[in-house]
Amino acid sequence: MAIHPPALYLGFIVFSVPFAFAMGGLIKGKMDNEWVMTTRRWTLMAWYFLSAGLILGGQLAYEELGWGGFWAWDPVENAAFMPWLTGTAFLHSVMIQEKRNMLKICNVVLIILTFGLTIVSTFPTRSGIINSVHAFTQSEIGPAFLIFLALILVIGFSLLFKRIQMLESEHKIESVLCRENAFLAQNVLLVGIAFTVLLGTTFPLLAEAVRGTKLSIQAPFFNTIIAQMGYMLLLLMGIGTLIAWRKSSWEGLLRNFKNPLILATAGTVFLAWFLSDRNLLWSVHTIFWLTIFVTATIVLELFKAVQAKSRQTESNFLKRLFYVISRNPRRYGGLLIHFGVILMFLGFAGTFFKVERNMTLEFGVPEQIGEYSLKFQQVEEFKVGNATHRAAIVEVYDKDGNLLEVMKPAKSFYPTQPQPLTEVAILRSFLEDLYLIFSSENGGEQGSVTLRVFINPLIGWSWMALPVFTLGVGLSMSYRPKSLVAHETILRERYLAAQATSS
Amino acid sequence: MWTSWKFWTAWFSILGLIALLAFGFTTDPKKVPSPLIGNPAPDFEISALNGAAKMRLSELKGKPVLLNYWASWCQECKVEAHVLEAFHKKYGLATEQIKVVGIAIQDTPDKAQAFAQRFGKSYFLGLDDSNGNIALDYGIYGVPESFFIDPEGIIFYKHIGGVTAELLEKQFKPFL
Repeated sequence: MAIHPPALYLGFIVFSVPFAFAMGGLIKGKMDNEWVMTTRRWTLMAWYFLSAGLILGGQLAYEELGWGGFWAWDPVENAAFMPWLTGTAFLHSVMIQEKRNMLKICNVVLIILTFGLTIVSTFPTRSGIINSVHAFTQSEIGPAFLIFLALILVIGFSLLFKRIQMLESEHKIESVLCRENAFLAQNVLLVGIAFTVLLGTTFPLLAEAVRGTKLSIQAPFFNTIIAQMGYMLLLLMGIGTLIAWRKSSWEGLLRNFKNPLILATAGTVFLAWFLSDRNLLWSVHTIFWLTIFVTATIVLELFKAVQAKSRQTESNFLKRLFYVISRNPRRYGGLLIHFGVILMFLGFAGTFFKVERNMTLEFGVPEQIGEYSLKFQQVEEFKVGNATHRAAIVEVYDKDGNLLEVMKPAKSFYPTQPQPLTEVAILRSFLEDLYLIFSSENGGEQGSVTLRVFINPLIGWSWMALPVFTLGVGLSMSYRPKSLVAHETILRERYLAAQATSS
Repeated sequence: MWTSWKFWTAWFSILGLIALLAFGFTTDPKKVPSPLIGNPAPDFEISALNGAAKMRLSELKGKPVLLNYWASWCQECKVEAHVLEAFHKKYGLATEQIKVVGIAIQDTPDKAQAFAQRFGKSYFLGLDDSNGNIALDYGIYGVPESFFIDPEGIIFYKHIGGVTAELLEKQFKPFL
């Protein structure tokens, strides 16, 4: 988790490669698709590190900050999220340029925005203009950052407007129902979310500039608006998987989507029945439906490809699966990443039905929460490295009375730190985490403690997204466009020939 | 191109964003608004750290009060300790123009007293109860925090973090 800042940083700086290629192309007036192909791997890498940084940051917040959640819409979290959103849009949008020679202007705009936003996200932590846990330095570097940002945007857009005629598309979208439109819609949504985040993050500044009042925009603003757009994105993720390029018919769509639709609906109804005692919100049912739908499209797509293969050869299923994936690693890598996104969404869904309670535990008296029974034993002090931990020793039993674990939520005192830090205790399982925060120690004969207790369902699934992303990006990166490989071979031969003649 | 709305939208958005961020340099994010400003300071009674003497905030009406929240484990409180003591010597002890009151929160009596001795504190110091009720009334979320109360008992300023002599002088100037 200590690599959360370097991962984000890598993500930020690697986006400078596609940006530089785009700018180079604009300056030279060479705006074919080469820059897109050449920088594909770099873009993937930047996207991967940014995603890893965000996930690890969420994990860090969850385990270290001790408030039971992993994302607080803090200005600096938002700032790192914005380039991720536009970067994701860029990553998809360049595929349209590669395949259909469209959306060229859009792609240049997206990469300028993405790179610009990486600077925006470094800006608040360095300039001290926004109050946040991440605003760790108030250095003199702020104005320099702002000038750099202004230069990027002004020069980037000036060049774009200068060359705009070269970037006009040769093709037009042929039908409403086509993959191009699904991609376009996801661009609009991702940029829309990025804009919402930007608005929410800078609105306090705007309010202060216009009305002179201080205000802060909190999670409900972001959650209400962005959740809806997130659901639509998820839906598009499913549709984009199975819809055809250029032209689709309603009949074709219905044929492709019949099974996923049936599976999603049946699965959601089953989960609603199975979890009926949890009083789930509509948002949870929506996420369940969408995640099953998208998973079904992915699995069916893979299944169909394997079946098509099986008609040709008679090897076993795993061999055929391996063959299918290795023939098109880019596509299946992408679908695997989509599956990672589904895991993240399920983690979010869990936050809608988490249990959160303040519990005062008397010595030796078991208290019930969810499926767990908590029994306070004593307060213990021990050394961990430099710090002194003052911990509540709490035994956790399952509903059959078996001891699951002895948990030690604590406050840690460092000699150099002014305030005690919270050391949460987490009991992880596949479906949920039991999460304890030591609030206070109360008097009384044998003492009692007050704990803040959370049961966080599905949260671990969000973390599982990272290894899935790693695998998906790895697969996807193993692909190189043939034209690019050929082009590089020519260049290498030319270079060697030049070397030979000069010597 | 000069007549294209896309062209102008792009430039206006860029300029707007840069201008907004530039404006950020003129603001102080640490200046957090408190709903208490302009309202009567919540009253409380507290015992002195070094004895049985009790003090009620409302009894201090008629004089401006500097109410400082601190803790012995807090690093920044150590930094501002001398500033507060010097301010008290200048305006509290000598001329009795301003009352300075310090309340330790999330602390133990021994540690708080040791702190007071180490920094030669001569103004009134008290310790909040173990539930932190006084700190709750004032919405404290970290130490040090200081509240500036006018002679009518109305809070007119709040400062988060260590105070400086200049800040204290500037804020209390109208009452000196």
